[in-house]
Amino acid sequence: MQQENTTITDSHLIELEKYKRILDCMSESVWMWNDEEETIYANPNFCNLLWYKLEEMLWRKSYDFWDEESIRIVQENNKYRKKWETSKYEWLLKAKDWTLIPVFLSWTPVPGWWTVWIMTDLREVKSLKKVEEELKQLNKTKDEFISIVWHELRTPLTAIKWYLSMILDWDLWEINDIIKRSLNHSFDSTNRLIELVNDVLCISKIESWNMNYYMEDLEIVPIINAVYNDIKFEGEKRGINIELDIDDDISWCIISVDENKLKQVLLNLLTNALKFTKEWWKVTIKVEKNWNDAIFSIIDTWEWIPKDKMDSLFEKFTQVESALQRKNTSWLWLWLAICRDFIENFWWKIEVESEIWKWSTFFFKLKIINNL
Amino acid sequence: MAIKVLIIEDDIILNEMYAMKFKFENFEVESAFEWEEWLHKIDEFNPDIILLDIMMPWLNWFDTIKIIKEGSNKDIKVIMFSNLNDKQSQEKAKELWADDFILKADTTPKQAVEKVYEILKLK
Repeated sequence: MQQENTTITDSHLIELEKYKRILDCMSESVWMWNDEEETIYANPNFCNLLWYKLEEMLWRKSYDFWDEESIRIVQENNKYRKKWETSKYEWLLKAKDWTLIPVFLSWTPVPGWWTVWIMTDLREVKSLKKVEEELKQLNKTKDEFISIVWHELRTPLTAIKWYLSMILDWDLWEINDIIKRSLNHSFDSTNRLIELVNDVLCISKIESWNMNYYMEDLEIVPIINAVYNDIKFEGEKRGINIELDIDDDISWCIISVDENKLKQVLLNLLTNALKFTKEWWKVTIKVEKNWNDAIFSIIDTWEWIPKDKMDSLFEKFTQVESALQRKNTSWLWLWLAICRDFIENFWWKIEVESEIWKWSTFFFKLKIINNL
Repeated sequence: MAIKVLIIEDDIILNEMYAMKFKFENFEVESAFEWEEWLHKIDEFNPDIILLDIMMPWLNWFDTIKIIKEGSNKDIKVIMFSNLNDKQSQEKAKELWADDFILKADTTPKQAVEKVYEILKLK
């Protein structure tokens, strides 16, 4: 009986052989002791971890492979181990060259004979964690840097914009048409730059989870009217008719929404639609009621988005050429990325449908909260 | 008598631009780039209205408005201007007794002047 408990018998070896293949393939290190705390098995991973060959380890006392502090802990824990309780530690092993190797280990006593130790090399986990931490930090630094740069850009741009506007406003001297036209272009370009800065800041805010949402219960119609009034002039300038198509039922509907964000989504989609619609055609703002949902659609004419491009449409910095107009529209997609992020925050998805030579529709649904 | 406006904005070029516009509209203008210096001069200049940039790094605008509103014997109006385009800052500004809020990149100097007239109920 004593013999059976302390040494490996043939039948044990046969038993062990059955599992050897599994143990050999395990990515964890496996170490087994008998009751005398002598090594009776170590899988290849464990041998490699400590730089020993298996035959060098067999029958050696377990203490040879722990660092001193760990030996103390192991001894303290022996009483639990002998009660066959399972436990987990994070401790240090001593390799052949005396290098200390941190491992996460869990052990299980096998009734009758052994203790089985299963270990994970924490150096790998720790180095991965460290890399992850470093990447996170780096990303944070990058975000902060971008945010500062763009914030700093906005102030001088604002100054340029308003100085130009004052010159144009004041008519301090007779400026001829060419100068006036040039100043107007400078003004428009500065304006575009400011919008771009705002978009980039917006995206970086969303990505760093710093975007605040200010949810309120609001009627739909006033929001749509405000957006319509904002964009109407832009449409007139381009010779495009903007139509409102609002269900009668919508007039009493209330949604829970961040007003500014919803307006920005609608304005972004409308600006996008205007860019792609040809002169004399129309863009429609449609709001319809479908059970508990208000469906907002922005419909343009002529634009066609190829099916395979639809998924990438809402990614940042994706460059999608309009199939019909071959316009380079890379910066528009930043707006669409913003739209998607805002809408997803209201727990809905923004979608696109497109029919060649006819129309494209961007639509999303918001829940009506006062539906009877 | 000319209306007195105090412009507190740390960006020199922007500050000068607003100053130029207000002077052109016959306001009496003082510009401040550093707030501490101006806090004790408020009684001296006695402005009717203050344009206060809330992004100034060294300024806790939260306390500043309180000091202006509670410390002076005159009803000094305060317009906050900023490039922070979120409703929360605007609501917060109004909660703190700011009389109005101007988004710098969206408001022309001309509109800023109109806003001042509107708040002082002069037009």
